[in-house]
Order: sequence, then structure tokens, then C-alpha cells
Amino acid sequence: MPAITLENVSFGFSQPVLRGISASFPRGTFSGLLGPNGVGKSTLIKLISRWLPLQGGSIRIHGRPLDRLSPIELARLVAVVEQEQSPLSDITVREMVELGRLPHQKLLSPHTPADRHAVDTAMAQTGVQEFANRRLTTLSGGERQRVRLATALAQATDVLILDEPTSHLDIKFQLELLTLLRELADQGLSIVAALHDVNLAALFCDHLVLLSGGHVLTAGAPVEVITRETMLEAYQCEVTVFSHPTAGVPQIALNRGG
Amino acid sequence: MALAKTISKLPPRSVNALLVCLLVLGLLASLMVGAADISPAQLAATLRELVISPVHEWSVESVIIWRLRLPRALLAAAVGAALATAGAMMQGLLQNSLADSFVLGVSSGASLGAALAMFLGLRFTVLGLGAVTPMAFGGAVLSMLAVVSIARQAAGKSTLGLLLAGIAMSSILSAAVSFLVLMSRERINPLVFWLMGGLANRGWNHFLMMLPYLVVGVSIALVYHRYLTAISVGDATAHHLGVDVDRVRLLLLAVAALLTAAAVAVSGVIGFVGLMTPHFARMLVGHHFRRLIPTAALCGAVFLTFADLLARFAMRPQELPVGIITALCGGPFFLWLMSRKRQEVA
Repeated sequence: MPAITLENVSFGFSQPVLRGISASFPRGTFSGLLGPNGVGKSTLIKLISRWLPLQGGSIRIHGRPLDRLSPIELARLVAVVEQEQSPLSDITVREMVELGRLPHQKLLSPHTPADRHAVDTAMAQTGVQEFANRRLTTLSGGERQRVRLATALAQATDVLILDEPTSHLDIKFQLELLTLLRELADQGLSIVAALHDVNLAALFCDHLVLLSGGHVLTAGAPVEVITRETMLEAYQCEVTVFSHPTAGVPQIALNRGG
Repeated sequence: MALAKTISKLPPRSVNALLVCLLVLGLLASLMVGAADISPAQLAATLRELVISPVHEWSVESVIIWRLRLPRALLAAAVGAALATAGAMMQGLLQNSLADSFVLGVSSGASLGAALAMFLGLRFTVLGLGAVTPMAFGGAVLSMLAVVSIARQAAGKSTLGLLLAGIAMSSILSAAVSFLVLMSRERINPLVFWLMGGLANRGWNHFLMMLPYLVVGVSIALVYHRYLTAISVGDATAHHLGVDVDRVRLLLLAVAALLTAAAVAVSGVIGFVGLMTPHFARMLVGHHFRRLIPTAALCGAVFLTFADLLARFAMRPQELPVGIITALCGGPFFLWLMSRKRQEVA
């Protein structure tokens, strides 16, 4: 059973954004969601996390219909790392990561040893423990992004969804973050990330879903999805596809003048 | 400022212990200061007498303290705690540090209730309280319900909608109060004092009327401290953590508004406590509501206790409305805080 199944999902505000998206994201894999700006990657992520109401079609998480899950059940199954935005409160990094335990805690219960362990592990994995006592507003965008990931990991879910997780990171942290996600997927976490960097997606993801014009243009392994034709159709951009010198996965090079 | 910085490095428990000490000091001072001053030695003797002697053997000092000063001192602390707790909740729930406990139109609703009671010369009593208090409480609750239900229909996911609805409601009700003031100058004169907020002539009835709201309101805020913190970080963040944001926000806003309504009903409109003390509390113990709620409540209690002391002391024998003191002392202090490093306050 896939981690996430989308059937004929459609959504629009005044104009349709998504027109009948059907796709599935396998369990224990690192899936990338690709497509040009404005194609609805973030919208799809907001639908899966139920931040936006579904207008048509159905979404299943581990086979369970999304609309039958209570807020707490959903938060125990799916953790979400949103696009970077400034926090409205100035709690400390550790307090933020501890909030990740909220769906597992009763109203009055203090932090259990299991909670503390999950928080410590998540902070160590993301390397945020060195600034655990700093306040959120004193952090750089990249540091905040790692804190958001740590919070999501402390949530200890089976599915992790990320919206442009690398957008505020320099290449070192991009590499570190994607390597960590790769390891987590290898350990069994199901990951879906909206990515705009096609080359990084090909390098780290097992499975890609390419959106274009409100539809799924193609889905599958990177070598199947990233071709000169699909890139031209989705991004309207002439590219040269070549094989990565060490990893052997497809990579694209942009040509001058499109 | 240096003092605040040193204090903010203390663990939250020590901060709260310090605030409790200040509160006890303030309460003892409140018992001693008044038309007839009571010395510390007399106070000790009086307190002993209150505990061990039967009522008919009490000295004049004992009667003054038991009937007048003790309920008033406790009421000041309770009102301060309620306004500060409600302010901290409102600021977190509406994600706006300029929100205060009156933001949902509670104070103007209470004012209209009180104005109507005075204008119509209502004479009924509820639980031993004159018509003004229950009318003010009813007005506060009604205006809060109206704001919440309007905002609920308007925009589910916008805190701005709630803020705007509160401001609109306040304007409408304030206009109605102004109209009543114009219509009847003689009878409405006490209202002008009421609008400035004051704790004169309040007794045990007032304290006992608001105490349950304070206890229940603060308890609920503490029980939901993680939800409050999650919502204060951002709606989407809270949603992804399993918080039913719209429902929880409405529930907790209603709790904060009830806390405010109870405080306003017994003390009139005392400004600045609900706006300022949560900021000060955040400087001391940070933004997490597990620590913010108790510390904000204590800060509010300490602040209003000393403000009331000053209101009675500053122009003796005349007494000032305590709302004037909170604004005159609180306002400049707040401006000074804001002019310091912005991040510490926001």
C-alpha cells in the first residue's frame, strides 16, 4: 500500500490549479514533486496536509481516507515542513522542537522520557542542538528551516512532507539536508518533497512526479521522468540531459537562449 | 532595565518566587495605607486579632482591614492577574503583540452595560452586587459573543478579521455610551469615574464574584499551554501539529474574554494592564505559555496592587481612579521598553 494515494484530485480558487491529479507516493521512498512555478506543488502539499479543503477527488494516507482522520490522527501520521516564513512567536529552538511532540501528548502530561528522546534525536540529526537555547527570531532562514525539520522529525510520523525544503539553504546545507532525508527514507520514512532543483531531485529521490498544466505529466524513476521532451513540455525550456559522472542519474544542463 | 535583564537570567521559578514576594509586600502595604494609617506593629496585632478573636471583640483597625482593605487589596491583585492572563492569551491567539484583553470589544460592551444600569437607574442586585456589576458583565459577554460569531462567519483563517470585528464593535458600543452620557449629565456622572477604572468601595462580594472566573480561566490557559504556544507560532504550524486551530482559538478567546469580562465588571475599565504586563512577563521568562501564563498573572497582580496603592496614596485624602495611574505609569514605561532593543519586547 502506498504512503499517499491521490485520485483525481482537483482544486482551484477562481481558476482551476489542479485538474485531476492521480498519483501515488510509495512507502519508504524519497519522492520528489517537480514542476514549474505556479503549477500547484504547494497547493497539492496543502491539500495532503488538509490545510486546504479538498474540492474534488480523494486522498488516502496509508490507505485511510484523509477526511476520516481526526486532526491528531493526521498529525501522528504526517509531519509537514512548510516553506520558510517568519515565526510569529519568539520561543526557543528547543521549545519549538518540543512542540513536535504535541500530537503524542495528553493535555496535562509533562514531557515523558520518550518525548525527550525523540526531541534530542531530532535535534542531533538536524544539527540544531548547538543553538538549542536561542530564540527563533535570532536565527537565519537556513537555521530556522532546520529547526522546522527537527520539529517535524520529533513528531515521529511515518510520512514527512516538505515544501521547497532547500530554498533558503546554501549548497553545503542543501547537501546535508538532502543526505539526511535520503538516510531517513532508507530507514523506512516515506518522504514527499516539492523541489524546484531538478538536478538535486534526480540525485537524491527514488521517485519523481512531474506536474505540468494542472496534470501529472509523468511519474516514475528519475531516469524515466527527466528527459529532454518532458523538460521542454513542463518547463518550456530546451535542456541537454546527461548522466551524472559518479551517480549515473540523469542531470540537466541549461542551454543559453533556451 | 539592567535589573530586568538580571532577573530574566534567573530560572522561571525564582522569577515567580520574587514576584510572589513583591505581591505579598504590596498586599501588606495596601492593608496599612489609607484614611487611617496602620503601623506594621498594629498590622501584626490586627491580623492576629482577626484570626483568634470573635467578630464582636474586633478593634476598629480590624474591622477596617477585614471589611475594606483586605477585599480591596485582593480584588486589585485578582483583577490584575485576570487582565494580564487574558492579555497574554489574546496576544498569542491573535498573533499580535498589540492585542490586549479588551480587543474583542469586551470593555466597551461592559461600559454600555454599566451605562445602561446607571442611566435607567436600575436597582436590582445579583449575589449581593448592585445592578452596575452584573449589567457590565452581561454587556461584556454579549459583545464578545457578537464579535466572535461575526468573525467566525467572516473569515475562518484570518486573525485580522477578529481584530477588525473587535475594533468595529468597540466603536459602535462606545458611540452608544457617549450618547447616553450626553442624554443624562447628572445621573451618568458616576459612569465617567467607572470608565476610568477604580477599586473604591469594592468589597468581598466583588472579589468572590470574580474569583471563580480567575481560577477557571487561568487553569484552562495552563491546561492548553502547548496549544496556545503552537497557535502563537503560526496557524499552519499549529495545524500540522494536530491542533484544530479555528475551534481551539475560539474556545480560548472566549475564556480570555470571560476573564476580562469578570475583571471589568468589578473594576471598570482599567487600561494598560492587559497590554503591558504580558510583554514584561515575556522579557522575564520567554514566550512559551507554560511559563508565560503564571508569570504574566503574577506581574499583573503585582502591577495593579501597587497601582491601586499609588491611586490611594498619591493625592490623599482624595483617591484617583486606578486606570489613570496604570496609564500614567504604564504608558511611559511601555514607551521606554519599546525604545530599547525592539526584539526583547516584540
